[in-house]
This record gives sequence, C-alpha cells and structure tokens, in this order.
Amino acid sequence: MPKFKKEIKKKSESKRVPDEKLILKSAKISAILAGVFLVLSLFFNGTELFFEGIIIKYVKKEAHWEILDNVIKVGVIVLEFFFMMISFGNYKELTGKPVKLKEILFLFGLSLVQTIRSLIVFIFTLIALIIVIFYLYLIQES
Amino acid sequence: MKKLKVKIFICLLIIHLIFTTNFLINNSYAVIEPDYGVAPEIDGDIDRSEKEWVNATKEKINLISLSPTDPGIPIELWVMQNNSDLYISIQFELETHNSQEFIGILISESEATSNESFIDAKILQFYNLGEIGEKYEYIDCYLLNDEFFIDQETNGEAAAKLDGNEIVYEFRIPVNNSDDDQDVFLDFGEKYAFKIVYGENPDYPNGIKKNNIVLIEIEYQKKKKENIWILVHNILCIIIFFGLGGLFALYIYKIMVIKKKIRRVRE
Repeated sequence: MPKFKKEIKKKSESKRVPDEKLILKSAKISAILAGVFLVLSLFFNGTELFFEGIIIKYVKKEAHWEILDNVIKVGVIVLEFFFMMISFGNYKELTGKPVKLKEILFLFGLSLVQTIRSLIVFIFTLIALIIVIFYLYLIQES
Repeated sequence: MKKLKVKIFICLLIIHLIFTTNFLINNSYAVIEPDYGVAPEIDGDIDRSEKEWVNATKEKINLISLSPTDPGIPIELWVMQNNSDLYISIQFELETHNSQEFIGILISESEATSNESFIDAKILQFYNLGEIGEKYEYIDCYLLNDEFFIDQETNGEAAAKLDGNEIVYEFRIPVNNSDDDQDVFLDFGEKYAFKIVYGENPDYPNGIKKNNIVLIEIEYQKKKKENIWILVHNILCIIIFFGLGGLFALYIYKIMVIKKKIRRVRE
C-alpha cells in the first residue's frame, strides 16, 4: 500500500511543469505579440501611406473614421507597450532581479517616440500609457 | 485594499473617458473644415466617373422644424473649396417631393447664429418639380431685419437635379473676392455660420419649414511641406523604427541566451 502511494507522488512530480519554463514561455509569447504590434505600429505610425489614415483614405473622410484611425494608432502602441512590459517583467524574474523604474521609463520612452508624426496620437498615447502603468502597478502582488 | 485600488482605477478610467469626450465634442453645431479640391461642375449631377466632390468633407445633419414631433429631413452635406469658391452640395430623399421646393443657404457675417447675424442668402427655388415644365431659379438675396431682398448683382451659382426620390443641390459661393456689399465677404481662416433652410413655396422667410446650422471654416490653401522637412521626418522615422527593431532583436537574443542557461542549469 505505501509503495503504491509513493508511485502516485512520483508521477505527479514528473508532470509538474517547472516555474522557469512557464515564465520563459510567457516571456516568449508576450515578446512575439509585442513584436507583432511593433510591426503594426511601424505601418500605422511610421509610414506615410498608412499614417495619412488608411480608413479615411479608402472608406470615407469623416470625423468618426478619423477618430477610428487615431484609435488604431494609439491602440497598437499601447498594446505593444503592454505586452513588452509583461515580457520584460517575466524576463527580469528569470534573471532574479526586479524591473527598475528607469527600465520602465526606457520602455515608456520607446513607446512614446513612435508617435513622432502626430501630436494628437502623442497626447492620447501618453494618457493611455500612464493608465497601463498604473494598472500594472495595481495588479502587482503586494 | 485591493478593492480600493480597483475603485481608484475605475475612477481614473471614467475621468479619462470624460476628458476624451469633452475633447471631441466641443461644439453643439457641426464644424466643417473643407479640403481643397478640383472644382465640381455645378449641374446638379455628381459625376462619380470624373471623381467630382471626391475631396469634399461629408457631414450628415437633420433639417428640423420647431415642432418637437417632426422627425426632420436627414440630409447629406458635402463641402469643399478652392482659392476662389466654396462648394456646397446638399442631398436628401423624400417620399414625395412637392411641385415647389427650395433649399437656401443663409450666411452669417461671423460665427454668430442669432437671426440678425444672417445677412446673405443663396436660394435655389424649384417650380413644377417632377412635372412637365420643371425649372429652377437661383436667387441671390441679402437680409435686412429678417426680410429678404434680391441682390442687384448675382454672385455664385446653383443647380439641382431630382433622380427618383433623391434630390441633389449644388451651390458655388465666392470666397475672398466679393466687392458686393450685399454679400458676406468670406475671408480665409475665418469661421462662418451657415443656415441650411428647406421650404416649398417661394416666400422667404415665411416659406421656410425646416433648417439647421453648421459652422464652416474657410481654409487657406495648405502649403505643401518643404521637401527637406519631409525628408528629415522620414529619415527620423526610419532611424526610430530601425532602432526599435534592433533593440527588439537584442531582447529576443537575450531571451534565447537565458533559455539556454536554464537548460544548462537543469542538466
């Protein structure tokens, strides 16, 4: 009877995925998503063709389509920052160090610099990024 | 404690939403900033093959009466301009059009929307609409104490065409070049209130049944950016995004390195 119990315990231990592996997986997936949004940001915030407003150019030049265009531009930057923060946080956990404020500010700056072409996109991205940082701060385990 | 933090976060989100809404909706009247484009032919017909009105700024508004139960007439308003004229197209559909119908554009001397501010009117009056002997007349008026007087000199032009139940009105109004005291001098860089009026019988202003106001800013022709600045802007963008790509590649490399390290430690 005791022998049987011991075997069960061994089996469950062998199935358990190590924490590092999970963290690494999360860091990789988040980094890939951040990369995808960085490429989208390059198209929407970096290239002239897309920046003029891909929707108002091909759908209709109306105020609400223009707003949607700007929402897309802000959205891709914010999502890129969000996934990059998650990925970087996981990466730092693997190295055994906490994420420093200057590293957060560095990522913050890298995200804001993508809004070089438009003041409106810059203002709304700035507000949204502050909210994201605040949100990430709130969900931290104290 | 956590609940309090969530509440603070929700409050911040609401403040952000209010701020954004306030930023976007700052005026009760639609404000139109027309783009420059190739002058359309004023014939009441929108020739899509010729890409007429393709640069027009499009806005949907309702022409309403004083009656609160009146659903109004939803119209599509297209506005564009060039150096010499402002072009306005008004399109709408009615179940049945009266044999007499008019659309008028009353122009204020400024952004003010009080009745006495509207001192100029461009009207297109239809007679026998949809019948034999259909014709229309373009009337250039000035307003004095709410009364309409025909201008001595007619400036601008208008045309319209009924197709099924849908009617298209097109107006051309001169900008920045009118010496006529009976017309509003539309100056570049200034905003003016335009009252769109609808009625049937040629009796102004008593025949006006529905109306609405929009603000139109007469734009200066946008100077094309200096080529050197476009070049600098593009180079900056290339540097920034290449830089970001490089940093991202370095980060991925670091993840790969740490992955190998973990594997080595485990072994």
